[in-house]
Amino acid sequence: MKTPTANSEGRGSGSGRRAAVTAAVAAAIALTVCPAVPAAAEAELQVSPDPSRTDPIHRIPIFDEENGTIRPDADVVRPMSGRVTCNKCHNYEKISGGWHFNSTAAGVEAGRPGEPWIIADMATGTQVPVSARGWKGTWKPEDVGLSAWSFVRRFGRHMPGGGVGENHPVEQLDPASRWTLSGNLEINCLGCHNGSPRQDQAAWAEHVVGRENFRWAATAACGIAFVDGRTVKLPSDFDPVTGTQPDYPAWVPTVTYQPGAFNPKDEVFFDVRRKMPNGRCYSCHTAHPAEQDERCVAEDIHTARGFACTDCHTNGLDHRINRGYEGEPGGDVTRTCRGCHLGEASAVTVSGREGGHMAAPRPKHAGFPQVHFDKLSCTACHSGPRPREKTSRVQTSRAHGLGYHAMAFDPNNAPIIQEPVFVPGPDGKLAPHRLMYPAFWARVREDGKLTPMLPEQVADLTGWVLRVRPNVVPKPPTVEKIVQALRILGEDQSAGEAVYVGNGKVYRPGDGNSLLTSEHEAAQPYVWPIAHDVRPTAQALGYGGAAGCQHCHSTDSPFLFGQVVAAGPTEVDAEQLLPMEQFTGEDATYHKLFSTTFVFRPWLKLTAGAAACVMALLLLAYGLAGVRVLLRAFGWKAGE
Amino acid sequence: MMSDAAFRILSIVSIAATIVCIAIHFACCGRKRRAAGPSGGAADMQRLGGLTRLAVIGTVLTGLVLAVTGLAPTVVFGERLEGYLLMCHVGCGGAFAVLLALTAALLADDCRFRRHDAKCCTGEGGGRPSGKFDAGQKAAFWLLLALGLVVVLTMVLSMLPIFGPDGLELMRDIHRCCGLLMLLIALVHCYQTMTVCRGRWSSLLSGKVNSDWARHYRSLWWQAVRGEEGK
Repeated sequence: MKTPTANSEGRGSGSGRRAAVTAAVAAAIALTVCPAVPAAAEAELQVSPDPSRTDPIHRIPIFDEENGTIRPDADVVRPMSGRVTCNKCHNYEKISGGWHFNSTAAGVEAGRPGEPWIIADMATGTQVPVSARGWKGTWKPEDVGLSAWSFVRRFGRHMPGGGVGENHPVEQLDPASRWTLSGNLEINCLGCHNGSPRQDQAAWAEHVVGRENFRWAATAACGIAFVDGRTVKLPSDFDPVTGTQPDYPAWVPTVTYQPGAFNPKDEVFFDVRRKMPNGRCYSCHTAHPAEQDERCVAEDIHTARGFACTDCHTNGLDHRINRGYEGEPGGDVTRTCRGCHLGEASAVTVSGREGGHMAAPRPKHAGFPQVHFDKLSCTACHSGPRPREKTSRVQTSRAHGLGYHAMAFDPNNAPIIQEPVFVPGPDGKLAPHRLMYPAFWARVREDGKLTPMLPEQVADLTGWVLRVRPNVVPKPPTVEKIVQALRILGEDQSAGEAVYVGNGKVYRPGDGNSLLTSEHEAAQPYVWPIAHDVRPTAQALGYGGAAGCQHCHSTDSPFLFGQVVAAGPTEVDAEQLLPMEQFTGEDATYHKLFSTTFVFRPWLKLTAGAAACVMALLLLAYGLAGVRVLLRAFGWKAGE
Repeated sequence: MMSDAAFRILSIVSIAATIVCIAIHFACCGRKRRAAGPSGGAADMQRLGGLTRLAVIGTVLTGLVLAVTGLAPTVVFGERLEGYLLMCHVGCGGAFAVLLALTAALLADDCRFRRHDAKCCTGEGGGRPSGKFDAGQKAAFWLLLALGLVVVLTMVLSMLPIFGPDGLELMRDIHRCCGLLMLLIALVHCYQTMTVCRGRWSSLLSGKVNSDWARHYRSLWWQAVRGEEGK
């Protein structure tokens, strides 16, 4: 690949000569900061990461999406393009195949189920797990009527860009899409890699979801520019090429780079770190127990010890991030719990086989029979909140918009997610999971399958039954409202029977204000494993000798006999309590009986220990004496 | 560590080998010895006291349960001992430990090796004189006791937070290998006592043996008892 030269036709790029000089400077910097780049006449893209351990200095010219060099003093100042700017040294195409961007790419293994995107709306009682990866229990975007455009508009706030944000084939274009106005949602490289405290992901969310300024979002978020204007207000026939429109001056997006952001050579310094700050990851990957004061939430033991997320979740230039579970397709076996703490026999390197990566201590697990390790994942005892009598609600960045000022934070907001629920993972081992019961309105197809309806469709069709006035906190729909809405939706028989799914059941209108219930596969809960936060050893289940056994082996152990709250954003069958064994698949009767034996276990140890002492004394007193007698009988004498 | 499959093979092979050895022994010399001894007759000599009988019977029964619950999952089904069988095994294990210790305490003195036991081993003295228990029984007793101690200790130590999973696996391997060895010794002991020497299971319940049987097989003990009666 060749380093593209500055485009002399690029708007706002100044004269062709100046652009050529800038391009030469860019190439020189690229060669300087990236030693892996061959010193060829034309710089080539870096194909492997720079192995130096120092933080790579990124003092670079920046380019717009048409490869024009950006200068703050140009007539028309355009937003920076990560695709063009970063691609000067880092192979953007290769990066765009990474885990964060490849959910819709062909031939990518889905891997272990993870947190889905969730279409959530309290007013209509909707929470639908969506994933293009096809995880069982999720809906693909197209199955719920989401085009690439509507998907990005809905979830772009927490997308890192790329993927469907820029790869949206023309044939799949949504008639309602406005890509020509908004621009592509390119990968927001600085969203993850910027070490500057000015990186503002809330601004990213606002420009993607609130303003439809896809093209400008990364620039607005990275802290070197102020972006104004709202593409969302521009009419669909607005010509983005002309740049300005007298009729809509305030809505046309404009960029104002901060004074001092550029040096005299029109270069910008980006605080790109080798180890990106954990806060960058937390923007999208925070989970918070809803019923807990944030001051009481403990940090993951690894980050508390100074780890960066990327110490375990490593990746190469291809950005195939190591998710860190055992059996991950293409994953790094040395960067799992086992890999670091015990060593992985299948590792290629000796250190990988021995473990101890990043000074990981080797656990003793004294008194834990092997069956624990055969039946439980490491996370079962070490991760997530400690199990209590009932599961509790959790909120996540992506599901509830934690950390985004524009989103109203309400602990009661949908979606309603419960944790920890112990469910066997793909390897058959029990692991803590988060659980969400899907809730949605749907049409029943001829084959009996359900087609979910988007909440806005339902609200449009049912009028004020399921709508709330602006600035009013929505409440979950009542039985009466659901019956009423189902009757309204049922008027259009040609579209198929209307049903409501929630709390593990399918509801149809019955007599009066009653609902008829039935079972359906689509109503089953979606679960995904909890990996973090990892608790310190002293807070792990089973820690503390014999007393630790009773964390699980007691008749009221939350781990085995806790209750799972089956709750959705509806008042129908609200907050059913289901026994944990329904999810673990374990025999509760056996475990109750087995737990009861732990009451007598101290006595067993004492009695058996005393018996062993008696036997040992008898052996010493009689056995040895008998042996002496026999030896004498055979002619042996002491001293011989 | 020994895999479950390896232990399964070891169990099957060792039990089968023991049975074959017993059969060969019976065919070669056991049958002759059996034919040379007395048979029948009323049980008229008290050999075991009530508590001893209770302890021995309890040990035998719990041992049987342990053998079945411990070996059946591995040997028959090729599975690891767990679930209800494990619970039963552990529960019986406690009772077995106590009963074995009690049996040992009650019989240890009678099972002390004495000079005449050496004669029995070397074949000196022709008639193989023996006390209440012959040298084979005593050897079985002490071997079972030593192995029982290991079995109980490995069980107790496994319940304490001392060893990690690897150490516990080692404990389990020692536990089940010693348990298997106990079973094999018990098989040989039963064959020797019941088949070759024509002992009776009923004497375990009554605690009595036939005097002819005692005079033939336990001559020293018979003489001692008769001497006591004469006084």
